[in-house]
Amino acid sequence: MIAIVFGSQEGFFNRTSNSGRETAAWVDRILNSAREHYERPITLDPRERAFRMLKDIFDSHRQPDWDGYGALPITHDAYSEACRLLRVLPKDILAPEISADPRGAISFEWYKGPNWVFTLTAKGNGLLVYAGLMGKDNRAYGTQKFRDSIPKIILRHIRQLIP
Amino acid sequence: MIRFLKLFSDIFGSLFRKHSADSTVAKDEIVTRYVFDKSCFSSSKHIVKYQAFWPHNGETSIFRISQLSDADVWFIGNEYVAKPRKRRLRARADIVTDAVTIAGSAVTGTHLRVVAETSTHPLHANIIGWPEDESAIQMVAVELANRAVLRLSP
Repeated sequence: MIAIVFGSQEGFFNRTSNSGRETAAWVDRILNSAREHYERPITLDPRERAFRMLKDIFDSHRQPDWDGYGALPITHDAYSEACRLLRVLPKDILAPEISADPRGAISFEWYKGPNWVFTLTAKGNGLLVYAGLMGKDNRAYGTQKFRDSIPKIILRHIRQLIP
Repeated sequence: MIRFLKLFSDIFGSLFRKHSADSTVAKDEIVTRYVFDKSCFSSSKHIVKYQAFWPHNGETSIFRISQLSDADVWFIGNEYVAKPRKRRLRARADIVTDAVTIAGSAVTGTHLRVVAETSTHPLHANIIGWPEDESAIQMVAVELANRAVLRLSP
């Protein structure tokens, strides 16, 4: 006979009586495996989290005037381009904060503190618009073509904001 | 309703008389941009994002709030901005008029300024003088957000 007890405080644990050692060992293995799975923290890879956030932003900003001042809905092209951008972002660069942009675009933002912020916008037309503050009175803005990789000038600016 | 009437007779009336003849807004006046969407601010970092100031048809709609109590600022936002739009006010971005001008100077040839526009409300104003180039607009909006103070809706 096997008696199994589930504890709410310390995850699963089991007690087996001595009738049928093999069965008891088998149950032990299953319960140990279940306990390991149960106790593993539910955390997502930062990039995976960023993709989920991106999808959420896209889904929740598909209506016009979402900002109350005439914003355009995020286009599918902008969403696809933002996905592509996120995919090619080098691993050493922290995942940015993602938000909707009134031009029907998606914005990526790296924020370090006052006077230290970099914004990058994907509109879905193959051009990335960027503007950032890299310290007091040190700013950069412009537009760059985006194909398979993020333009070096943009990466250089972003890297000024990450540790 | 009583509160509404009092607000008009005590504050708006005098302000309106004071400013209606002159569309210039003083350098030290505080103006605010009411915000309805989470993409325009970060509550965890407690910052305003550039999207909050993004212009529509070349102007950013704001309100002059220097003479008002905090409660009255929220009252105007809810009654005159949120209600007509059927939106929930989430936050506001406060900024000094002088900082608006300075933010504009970040882009060469840009003369950003605050002008009163009282057709909808005596304290309504617009930020005008935005640059033409899209990335320059983004730069100026980033500068404005950097200088603005976030106030979350109570």
